[in-house]
Amino acid sequence: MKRLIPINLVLPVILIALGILIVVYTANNPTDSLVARMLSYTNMFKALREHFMLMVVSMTGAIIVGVLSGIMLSRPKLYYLGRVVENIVNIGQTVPPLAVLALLFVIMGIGFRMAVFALFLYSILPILRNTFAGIINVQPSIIESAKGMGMSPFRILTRIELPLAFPIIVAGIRTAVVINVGTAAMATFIGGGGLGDLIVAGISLGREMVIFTGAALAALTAILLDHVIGQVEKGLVRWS
Amino acid sequence: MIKLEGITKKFPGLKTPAVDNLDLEVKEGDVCVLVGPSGCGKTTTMKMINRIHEPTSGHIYVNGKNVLKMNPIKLRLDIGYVIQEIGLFPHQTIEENVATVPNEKKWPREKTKQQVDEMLTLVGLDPKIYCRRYPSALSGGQRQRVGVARAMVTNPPIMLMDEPFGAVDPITRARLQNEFLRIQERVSKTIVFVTHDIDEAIKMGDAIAVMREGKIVQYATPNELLSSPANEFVANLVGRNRSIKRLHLIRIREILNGIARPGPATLDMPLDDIRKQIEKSDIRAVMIVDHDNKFKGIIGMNELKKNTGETAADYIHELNQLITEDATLNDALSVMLECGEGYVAVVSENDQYRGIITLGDLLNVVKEEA
Amino acid sequence: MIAAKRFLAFWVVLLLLTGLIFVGGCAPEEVIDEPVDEEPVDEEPVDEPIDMEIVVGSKEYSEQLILGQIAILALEYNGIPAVDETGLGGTMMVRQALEAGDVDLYWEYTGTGLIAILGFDEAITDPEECYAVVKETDFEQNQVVWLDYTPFNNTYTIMMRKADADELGIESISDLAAAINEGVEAPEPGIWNLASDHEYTIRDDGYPGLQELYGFEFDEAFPMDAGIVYDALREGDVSVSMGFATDGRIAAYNLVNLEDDLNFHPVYNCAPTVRQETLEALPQIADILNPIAQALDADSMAAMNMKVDIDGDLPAEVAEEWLREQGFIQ
Repeated sequence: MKRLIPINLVLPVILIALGILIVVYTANNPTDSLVARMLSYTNMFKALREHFMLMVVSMTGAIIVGVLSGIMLSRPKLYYLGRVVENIVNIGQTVPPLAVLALLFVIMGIGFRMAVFALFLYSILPILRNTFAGIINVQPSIIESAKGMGMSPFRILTRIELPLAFPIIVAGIRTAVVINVGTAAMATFIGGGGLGDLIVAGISLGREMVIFTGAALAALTAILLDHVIGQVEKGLVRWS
Repeated sequence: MIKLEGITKKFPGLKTPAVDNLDLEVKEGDVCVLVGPSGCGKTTTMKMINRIHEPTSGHIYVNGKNVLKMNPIKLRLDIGYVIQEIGLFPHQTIEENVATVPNEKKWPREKTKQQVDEMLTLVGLDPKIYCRRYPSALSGGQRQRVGVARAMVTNPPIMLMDEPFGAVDPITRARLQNEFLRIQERVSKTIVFVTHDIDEAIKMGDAIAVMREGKIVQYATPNELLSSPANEFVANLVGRNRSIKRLHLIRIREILNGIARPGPATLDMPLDDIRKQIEKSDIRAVMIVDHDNKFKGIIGMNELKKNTGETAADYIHELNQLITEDATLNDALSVMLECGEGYVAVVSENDQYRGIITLGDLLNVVKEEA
Repeated sequence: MIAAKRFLAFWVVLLLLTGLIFVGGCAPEEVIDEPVDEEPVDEEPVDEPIDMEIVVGSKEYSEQLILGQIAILALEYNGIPAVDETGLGGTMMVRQALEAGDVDLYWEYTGTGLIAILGFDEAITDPEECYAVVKETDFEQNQVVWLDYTPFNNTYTIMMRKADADELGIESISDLAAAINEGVEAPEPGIWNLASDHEYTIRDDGYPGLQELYGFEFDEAFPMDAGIVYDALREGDVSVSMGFATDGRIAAYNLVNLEDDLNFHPVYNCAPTVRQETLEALPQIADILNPIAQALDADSMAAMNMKVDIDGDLPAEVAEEWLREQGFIQ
């Protein structure tokens, strides 16, 4: 364990350092007054903070709802419904995020909460699908021997199925997080704030430096979170 | 101990029942083997006893209690269960795997730990080495042993075993079977054992139920089955070479005393004495033990010709064809055929020398029995 | 049976989702017209066949799409083949396409030309003066010609809901500044926040400059897509919103433009901008488009915008209707 810690931290430290470097450099070297205004510390931190809030709130909701509904659908009584939902989810994932945003705008209006809701809906899909698939694909012989030894269905779920599905569920969460970081940049179109504020302002004013900063911070966030979750998974799963 | 009355099982969508009005009684302490071709209903029958499958009609009693009226979870906690794929939990250590039922029964941790260690030792796995390992780090044979340990850890009076030694190579399989029989001799469980291998059935069973198309064709002891098969189906299953099959039924220990041979030589025996002994022997070799009767090796005629030393210790070499005394004669025959020698040395569990068995001894047994 | 049910369920869901995507794609701010191949209706005398095509571009919102279609229809009516590249993107994207020669012509606003394209620091609030400066500078620097400009001035406007403005007695931006400075309680959503597009939030001639000149501060800027600011204001997500003066939704949603009494917002009259080399090859473009530009007043533009944004008509239909009404085509 001791040996692993420094190795695990190398990439995050590099990513965070790179992020800080970009923020400090762009804040101190604006190409003109508009860029200076967009890339002020206040503005960048506001965008970053909003981006994180969008992600944290939507991901928390998506993990809870996605995992719980994935578990429910994997129960034998709901198995066929689960298959139907799996198909729906697969189709749902082909809907472009911008369309989800536009649709929600038409139905429910604008703002941070709307953006969170859209991100939440979009992030549920991979988590739900992987939870369902992870549980369904546990070897029947393992379930049978657990059952035969007198474990109740609930115990089998918590002691056998969920731990075995865990790596697949985490893979779903990682997918969701990476999609989420990218999609959160679109929240700006419906007034949701975030790094999209920088990117879109940069595009409409033709300031590449601003676009680059916004996009780079989003990309760094995605890589960082993906790596961190991956490490957490590695730390928890020792058996494979 | 276990009693099935008029059990029928129909699976939805199938016209013919998987198990058809079947009666079966298993005596306490017996190993009852269900044997038959695939699809004969043997596994289904076994799995109804712990209600993995629910019978369509009929009654099942365990210790006089109607199983179908019991809470299935509680019922299963007191029935050991081993399936062919073993179904070890890959995310748990060997210790956690074996402790499954104690944990379900909420045993105190100390008691669980003690029992797990004892059980692992019993199946021949050192707890110190294996407790912390995961199933993926074990060989097929070791996993089978863990499966058996897991099923027996709370000492349930009844065990259900579905081809528990099916997924390993024949040599490992014979060893696991022998070990299991040795344990069974000590613990005397009531066991329902499913296999499609008639040799295994004859070797393991106190009583054998031959099944076909959901019905029992013959329910008898191995000896009866071999000497008087009920019909052509059973006869075909048992095969033509029934005399050789009988070798499955006899343990080496049982015939060893009836064979008179000169004893082994010790390590410090002078060369001349050894030469004399070899000349008397029908295998042209002599076994060597130390002063505690522990088996050390063998010296043959060829070694002596080299003429390089004074005592047995200078000529001794290792012997591959070894067998334990609780193996069957059939096992002894296999070892001889594999090694291409006409004899095999018999040792006890802790390497005490017990004697030798030759091909001639086996022939004599077959002749007598026939 | 089960298989059949699942099959049915699958298709019902598929249909639903397709419908959703379609509705999403048709949300007002996303209207993208299809290219309309207008054949010349009349046998207007054409001197000689023209062997070059005029690529007409535009930005992505309704007014630009309509103006683009007007240009395309008028050019084709007069025998000049036109390629429809309307709806390209933001100001900079279309402008770069023009400078690169990928686009020959698009409608630009004088104020945008002055500040965003030519990089002047100070806005000009007189239409004539602004046009003159832009026309001269852009030609000298980039060989881009500004044809005649429209009477309509699609400048930024600051809007409130009419009911709130009437209740609080706010008619001008000065009134708004006074109200905010006096601590008057904001209408729904309860804070003085301003919906605007991303550009306006940052630009010197936008949010920062507005607050500086009028001497007040909003509680919060609320950047979003320009297409939804009117809805945001109507739905009460913001109390004040930036908009474009000629947008059809202002009247349709019962919103009101506050008077820019200190002349903060620069003028944004619109004119076709053309590459010099294109104009040299086809000088008649100027003769075709100049009278059209002069006829485009604020009422005409707002009415056309409303037809597209509110009624859902296609920009090409609306453009053709107006050109016929005005007698530019028959």
